[in-house]
Parts: sequence; C-alpha cells; structure tokens
Amino acid sequence: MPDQATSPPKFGSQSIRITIKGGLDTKNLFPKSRHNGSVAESDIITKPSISRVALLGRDYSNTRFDIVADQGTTVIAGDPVLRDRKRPEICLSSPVSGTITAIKRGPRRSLASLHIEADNPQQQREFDFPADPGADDIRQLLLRSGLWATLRTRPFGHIPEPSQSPAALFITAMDTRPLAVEPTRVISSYERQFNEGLTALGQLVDCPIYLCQKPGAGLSNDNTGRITVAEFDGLHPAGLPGTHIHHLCPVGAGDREVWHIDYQDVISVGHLMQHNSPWFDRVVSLCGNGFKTPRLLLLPIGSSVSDAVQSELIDEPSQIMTGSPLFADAIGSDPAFLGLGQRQITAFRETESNNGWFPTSKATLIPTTDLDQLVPDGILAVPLLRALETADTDRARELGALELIEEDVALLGYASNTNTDYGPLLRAVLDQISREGLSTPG
Amino acid sequence: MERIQQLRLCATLPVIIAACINTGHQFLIAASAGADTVGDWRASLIQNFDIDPGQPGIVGVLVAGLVHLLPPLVVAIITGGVWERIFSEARGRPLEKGFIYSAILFVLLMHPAIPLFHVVFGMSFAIVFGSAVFGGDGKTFVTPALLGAAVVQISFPAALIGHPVWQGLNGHAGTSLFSLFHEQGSAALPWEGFEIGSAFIGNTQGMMGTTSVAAIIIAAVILIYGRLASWRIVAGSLIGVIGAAIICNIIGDGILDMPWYWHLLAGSLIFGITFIATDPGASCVTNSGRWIQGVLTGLLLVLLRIVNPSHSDSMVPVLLLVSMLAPLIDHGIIWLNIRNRMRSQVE
Repeated sequence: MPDQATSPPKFGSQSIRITIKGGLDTKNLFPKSRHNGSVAESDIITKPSISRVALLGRDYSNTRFDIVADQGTTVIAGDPVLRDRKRPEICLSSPVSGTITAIKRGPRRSLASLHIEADNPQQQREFDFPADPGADDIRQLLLRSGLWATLRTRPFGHIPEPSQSPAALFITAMDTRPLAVEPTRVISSYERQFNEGLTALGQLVDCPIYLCQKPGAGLSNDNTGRITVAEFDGLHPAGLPGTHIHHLCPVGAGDREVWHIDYQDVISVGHLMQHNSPWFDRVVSLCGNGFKTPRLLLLPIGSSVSDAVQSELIDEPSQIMTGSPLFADAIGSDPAFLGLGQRQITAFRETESNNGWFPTSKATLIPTTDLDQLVPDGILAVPLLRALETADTDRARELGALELIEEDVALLGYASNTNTDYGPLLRAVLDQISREGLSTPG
Repeated sequence: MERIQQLRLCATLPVIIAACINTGHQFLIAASAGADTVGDWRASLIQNFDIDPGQPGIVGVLVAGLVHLLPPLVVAIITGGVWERIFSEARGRPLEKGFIYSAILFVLLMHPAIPLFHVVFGMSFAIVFGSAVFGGDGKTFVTPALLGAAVVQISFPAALIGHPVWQGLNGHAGTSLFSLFHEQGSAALPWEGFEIGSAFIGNTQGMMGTTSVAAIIIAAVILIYGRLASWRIVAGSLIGVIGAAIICNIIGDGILDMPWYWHLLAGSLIFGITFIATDPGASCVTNSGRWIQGVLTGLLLVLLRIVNPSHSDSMVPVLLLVSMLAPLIDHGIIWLNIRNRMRSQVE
C-alpha cells in the first residue's frame, strides 16, 4: 500500500525527510580496478574543446519540431533552431555558435538529430528582461531562450504547456545512479547561479517547490520559506524524480500535473538571470574502468562523445555508453552525442560482462523477490511489468504508469530475468494515454 | 534465466545428498534387521556390491542411497526431456531446460521403492499438463513436480502396504508418525523411534527428499538469498503452521495434540514450503499476497492433517489448492492498490 503523505505539506514548512527502503546497492555492482570507476570528490572540472554537437529528438519524446534554422545556416549560441510544431512559443536553442551541418530524420519524419559544427570564437545571444521580473516575464524569458524545454511534466515527461500551472515543482538535486557525480560538488562551484535559478523558478510558479536532495546536503539558503527542502535517504532509485514525486505529490490517478527540473538546468536558469544568456555547458562525469582517470568534464549540451573522450580511454577495447550504466545508450556505429539529461559517460572494459546490453532470447518474466524493492513503495512491480509487456494500457495506468518515465523502469529491466528494456514499452503506453486524454480514468 | 536455473539446482544439492544418505541408511537398517528383500531389484543390486548391512561404512550407505535415488532420477529426466523435445519440435522453439529441476523435485517427493513406471507416468503428466500445454517454463501456474506427485499419489494409493523394508511409510500418505498420533497421541512417540534430533537431520523413513529438514533449511536459505523464493511465504507458512498447531493443542487430543515442532519435522511439509510454495510461477507476486498465501498454506497444512486420518500428509493437495488460489489473492491485493491510488488523489 502506498505510504505517501496524504496531503502535500504547506509551503516553506520545515524540511521533510523520507527514508526509501529497498533499492539497488550500486557500490558493489561494478568491477574493481585501479580505481573503482568513480570520480574523486576533489577533481577539477576540465573543459575540452568540442567541435560537434547535436540536439537529439529522443530527448523530447512525443514532440514534433519545425525547423527554424536549416542546414547550412550560421547560428550563435542561444539562437532558436527548432520550434514545437503545436506550441510555437516553445523552442530549442543552439548550445554553441556554429553552422548547422545536418538534420537527420527518424521514423515518420520525426526529428532524430540536428547537428551543429562549432565555431571559434564562441558568441552568445543575449536576452533582456525587466529589472524586477514577474512570473510572466520569467516565463517569456525561459521560452525565448529555449530553457523552457528543460522542464518536464509528470505524468508523461513532456515539455510543459506554458499556459498551465503545476501542482508542484520538483528540483532534482541528488543523483543515486551508479558512479554518478555528486550534485553538491557541482552546485558548490556554481552556487550563486543555482540560488538565482531557484529564486527565478520561485517567481515563475506559485505552487510548492520541493528541493530534493540527499540528507545533510544543505543546498538551500532560502529564507523566504518559498522552497521546501525534501531529503531522501536511500539507495537508487531514491534519487530519481519519479520517486520524489511519488512520495510528495503523487500523480498516478491522472488528476494533476507536476513539473520537475534537474539541478544543472536550474544553474542554467540562474546564469540566464545573472548574465542574460543561458549556461549551455553541463558538468559530465567520465566514469567506469574503461577510462584512464575518471574525471569531470564541462561539455556543451549535445556534445559529441568521441570529441569528449578523445585520449581519455584506456588502450584495451571498452564499451562506451552515454548515461548511467543502468540506463544508457550503447554507442554503436553511429557517432554518439550527449543527451539533454545525461550527466555521465560510462566506459567499461569489454572483458567484464555487463548485464543487459545485449538482447537475449525472449524469456518469460519470473517474479523474483527483488523487483518490488526497485520501484517506489506502493507500485506493484510484477503486475505493472506484465501490463507493459502485453500493452494493457488501462491496467498499466491503474497500477501507476502515469507516475513513471523510462528511467524509472530501467532498474526493473536491469534486475529482471528477461533483460528487456521496459522503457519503450512504457513510452508506448504513456503515448496512448496521452492521446486518449486523461479525463476518463480506468 | 541462466542464473535462476543454476540457483535452483544449487539449492537442490544439499537435499539430494541428504536424500541419498538417509535413504541408503534407512534401507540398510531395515536390511540388517532382517527384512526380507527377495524380489526387490534394488536390494539385489545393492547385494552385488557386497555391503554388510550391519557395518556399511559411508561408501555403503551412499551406494545404497544412489541405487534408490539415481534410477528414478535418470528416468524422470529422460521422460521430461523426451516430452520437452516433442513440444519444442512441434512449436519450433528452443528446448527449455526447466524440466531438469522439475524432475529432481518430483523424484525427491517419491518414496524409495517407487516403480520406474510410476516415475514415467508422473513425470509425463507433470511436463505435459503442468508445463508444456501452458507454454513452458515460466508460464505454468502450478509447479509441475507437484502435479506429477499428485497424480502418482492418486493413481497408486496402495503402494508400499506390506513392503518388507518401507512399511513404515504407508504409501504416499505420510509416515506412520501420523497414524501414531491419530491413535495414541503424543504418548506414542518415544518408543517407536521418532526422535527430534534424527527427524531433523533425516534419519527416518520418508519420501526421499523430504526427510532431512536440516538440508531443506540450507536449500531455503540459498533460494531466499538468491531472491528466487520469497521469505514472506516461508515466514507466513511457519506462522500458519505453528499457530494452527497451538490452537489444535488447546482444542483436543489425539492428532490434535501433535506439537508444532513435530508438524514441522514430519512428512513433506518443510519440503513443500521451501520448494513448492515459493515457486515464483505458482505463488503470489505481490508482497502482501505472499504473506496471505503463506499463512493460508500453513493453516491448511495443519487442518488437513487433522481431519484426514487415512491420508495424513497433506502437503500435495494443500499446495495445489493454494497455488490455484494465488492469482485470486493477488487480484484482491491489486484491487486494493488501485483503489488506494485513486483515493489518494481526492483531497
């Protein structure tokens, strides 16, 4: 039975602490070597030079884009290059100055990727806003700069409708994924921007704002009571926004919507408020024993992975993935680029066997006893997975599919005997629900 | 799937070894007490090895045990393999290896003098109707080995009556421990040779794999630690058995007086709880459901032992019944979960 609070706490109350039981112990998951594949706390962030970036259609599920800047156009960082076909006020902006070299299409003429070759020197577009911005001003600012597209809704994980207001806003400032960099480490380097970003978001919405962090992180210096600190203590998936939302403002019944945003995107908002242009870089950790020295890099959004990891890899053959080892895109023959929410590039030596990156024959799901520990308390894992496997949309919805996006079910796929990636199955169900509309539950 | 199959076989290992030792030992005890073993092909085979029943040594015990355990096991595996092959050819799918585990469990549930024909019959039924017609490994809703054991029990109920060596076994109905309790209550135990210590390690007559509670506990730990068996089902069953036994003790005499620890030590109860009740395909998939299933199993196990004096080891019918109820229990838990989810939004 769900054990969440029955009503969201009031604004600005004392901090909340939630202990998450179960979960995946990631410390011993990965093969040991000279280093254990994770980044040391004191590492400096270095900024390699990146010449190619790409915006990836798969980061914006279900959104159809119109092309604003066509192949061959020169853009500066911050210029809009894509617009949401249905909501033209939402745009994606270029993370670098340069020339658009290619636009690749996916199935049914959706956008697969938009490639930009970066120039030297880099220029940034400036966005003006009034001295004492109100909610509307901030909204317009985020839309024009392309930062609106870093917000996500729950349910569905779409870009929010600008005219809507959420029931709550979640700031994800913790990361429990294996070998992930500690957010406090990054925030401490960008503290002022982070706080400015929180203030701006506090102006944008008038719902409760939850700053989700690990216990003792002490990330907020907010005195206005606008922000409620929520500490989550536990193993992965304790750090996923799906878990936080489940406990503080559950959306499974389909009658309300919350938004969530990642801490580095908050830094970008703060940077925009301070310097009139967004921060287009992100701190990414190189982790895993396939790298000579795991470290932190400052990379532009959509950075080419091969540009980033040049000379970082060990000499032996290794398997490289963008994203955390649990929920990653293996790099195949296509050149790979860093997705919007990906904060890790993982490389493992090929000699060690890594669970789950190679498709196995279709096995039947066996209800092992660990599966229930890997979803938020109150979601029944095996019935949900069975509903996803049979594409039983109504059942999946009843069991809480609306609370989840792909990253939440990645753990289940990893731990189950079928080794199936349940992400696409979940996305198919969510797409169907969103097409049919939320007004008729069950 | 590989990990699960390996884990299962690993868990059966202590039980197989204990079965071997205990069965051999029991046979030699009976033989040295002068049981007339003419006509028993197993006895003849054992005599070929020149084992002195009074002083067999560990090798002698193992040989005696293997002669009882190995032929049915080989026959069961071959039978299962033949049926799996037939179905995999007919369906165009690769051969699934789950039948090996089913064969092992099935044979462990058999008595030591099981005719090999019964093994073929039971295993065929188990694989065809307990597994293949539902789609094979993972898709069964009842443990195939259990179904096979049930069919053998029902079809050949008069087995072992009057058997020179194993007459203490009363066929598939459970050891004479039960009839003792039925007739005479707990006073009967000490001089019939039923001692707690030996019952715990398995030094008694019984279905081959079910005698050694100690070995089965090791298997249970392996299965639970390997995340295949739910500790909730095991704990719930124990609570159910102990609770029901205590209530029975309060209520009456005779079989009702059987203490909870004898319930746990006697018959195939612990074997059933460990290997069959926890079978992920045949049990509840929700944690709350697992508790309910466990307690229900425990209660019914004791209850059915009490009410049926002629067939006292209730494990097979009870576990069949409960595994068929498991989806219904889950259904209720899921219904509650959905209702709570919808309700928690209404503020």
